[in-house]
Amino acid sequence: MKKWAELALGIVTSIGGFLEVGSIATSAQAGAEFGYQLLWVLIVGTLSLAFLMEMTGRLAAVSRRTYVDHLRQCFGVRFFMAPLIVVLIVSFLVLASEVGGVSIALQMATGIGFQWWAVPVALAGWLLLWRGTFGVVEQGTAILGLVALVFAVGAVKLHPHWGEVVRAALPSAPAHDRARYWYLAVSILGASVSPYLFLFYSAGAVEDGWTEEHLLVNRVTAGLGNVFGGGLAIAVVVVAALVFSTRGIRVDRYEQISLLLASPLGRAGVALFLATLCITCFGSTLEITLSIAYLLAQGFGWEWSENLKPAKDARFAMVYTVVIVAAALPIAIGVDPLALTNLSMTLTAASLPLTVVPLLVLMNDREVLMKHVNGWMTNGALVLIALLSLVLFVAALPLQKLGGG
Amino acid sequence: MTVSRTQHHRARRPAAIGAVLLLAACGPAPTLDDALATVHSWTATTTLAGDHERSGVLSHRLAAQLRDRGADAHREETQSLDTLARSAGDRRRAQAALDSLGRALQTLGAQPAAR
Repeated sequence: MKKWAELALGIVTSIGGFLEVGSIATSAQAGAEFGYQLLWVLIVGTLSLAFLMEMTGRLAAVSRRTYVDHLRQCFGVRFFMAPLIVVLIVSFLVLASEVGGVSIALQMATGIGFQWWAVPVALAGWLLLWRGTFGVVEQGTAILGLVALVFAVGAVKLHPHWGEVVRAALPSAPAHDRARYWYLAVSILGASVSPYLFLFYSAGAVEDGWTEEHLLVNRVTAGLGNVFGGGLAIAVVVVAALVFSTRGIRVDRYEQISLLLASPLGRAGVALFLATLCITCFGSTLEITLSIAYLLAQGFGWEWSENLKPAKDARFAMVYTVVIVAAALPIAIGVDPLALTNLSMTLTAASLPLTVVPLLVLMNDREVLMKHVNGWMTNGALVLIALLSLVLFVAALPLQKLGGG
Repeated sequence: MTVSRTQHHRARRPAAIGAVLLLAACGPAPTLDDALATVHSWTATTTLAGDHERSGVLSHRLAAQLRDRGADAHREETQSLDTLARSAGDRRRAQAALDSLGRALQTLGAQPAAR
């Protein structure tokens, strides 16, 4: 019974936590400009994330240590500094984008400029991290994040041509604006496969005390949870294709995205969209802040746990305190949240090799994983994801310049 | 041999940094069609928002924010189109697009932000 409850909670957490500022913005842009044509990229991104989460979760459950711990120990401190610094910078930009997402949702609801909301949002997040436990942060926000299911309802109510949606699962070349098409593809992958997602998942497995007995929970959470969560991002693309693309609307500002659900769901759709943006971005704000604190604490061997009182892991608590307030500053001084989101998604995509390629070694280390090392299928998937990450590393920045708009 | 190779690598470094900076500086130049597409997009956004506002789906508060963003786009694209439209035909197309956006903006968020 307990196992079923864990499975259900794991899936709910993955679904509720899937959408965030990057996936909402990039999916809406993709649907508006290219209809269903970029759905295949979302599917690639979702499957890649599912594999990476399953592997980092398995590594944590079997060894009872996080991926970051292994990264530092296996490859040495000198190598470890590269992913540490890059992931820190990229995660910080994504964090600032999430704070921007909450702030813009509050602006749309109240009429008070987003700049004024950034610091209060950061303080609310900090208070929850200071007082709350890992369960509250992870499951509380994810359960509230189920409001994002409204996109699935909106997509169904718009009666899309499902045959065309299914056909879009296969890659196709763009008929126009090639650079923009591939730029959005890179952004979608950056939003889907953010390193913070699997670093947080791995740390969460240790926080929750996972052992080998949790391998089934891990597999189901990473697999089904992400597939259902990815379904929500697909729903955003479908709604944007039917509401925006048919009218020639491009998404240049977050305010435009507020119209997405007005057509299928009326006034309730607008309110639920604002709730979705606010809650999912706030949940991600907490997760990324913790992820950065985990990265530094695990990297330097400090005491760390969101379940400990801040006095017991003072350096860990200090990091999340400083980081969440600092991330509010770009938004507070008026940096455009959508431009920041797009830039951070591209940089995230470019940073992937540093966290993905080392997994090829770690997931085949029999001393650590014993009989739970990767099989041929997971190794095959990991090699493909690693190759994809190398392509993204080379292509992301040029595409940002050519197609970033 | 090792020293000379190191020096060679060091000499290459500024060139590599320069190439990256050049790449960063050289985005594609904006075209007339891009600017017109942006104007048409905002006209469509404003028209859709106006329809929703009149039917009570969209609050006047949110409609007013969309109107302000649309007005920002109108201002920015007026400047862009001014430089990009070279022929008389281009200028007519640009003016027609801007007029259309201007008319759509006038119908949006005109009510007080009560809801």
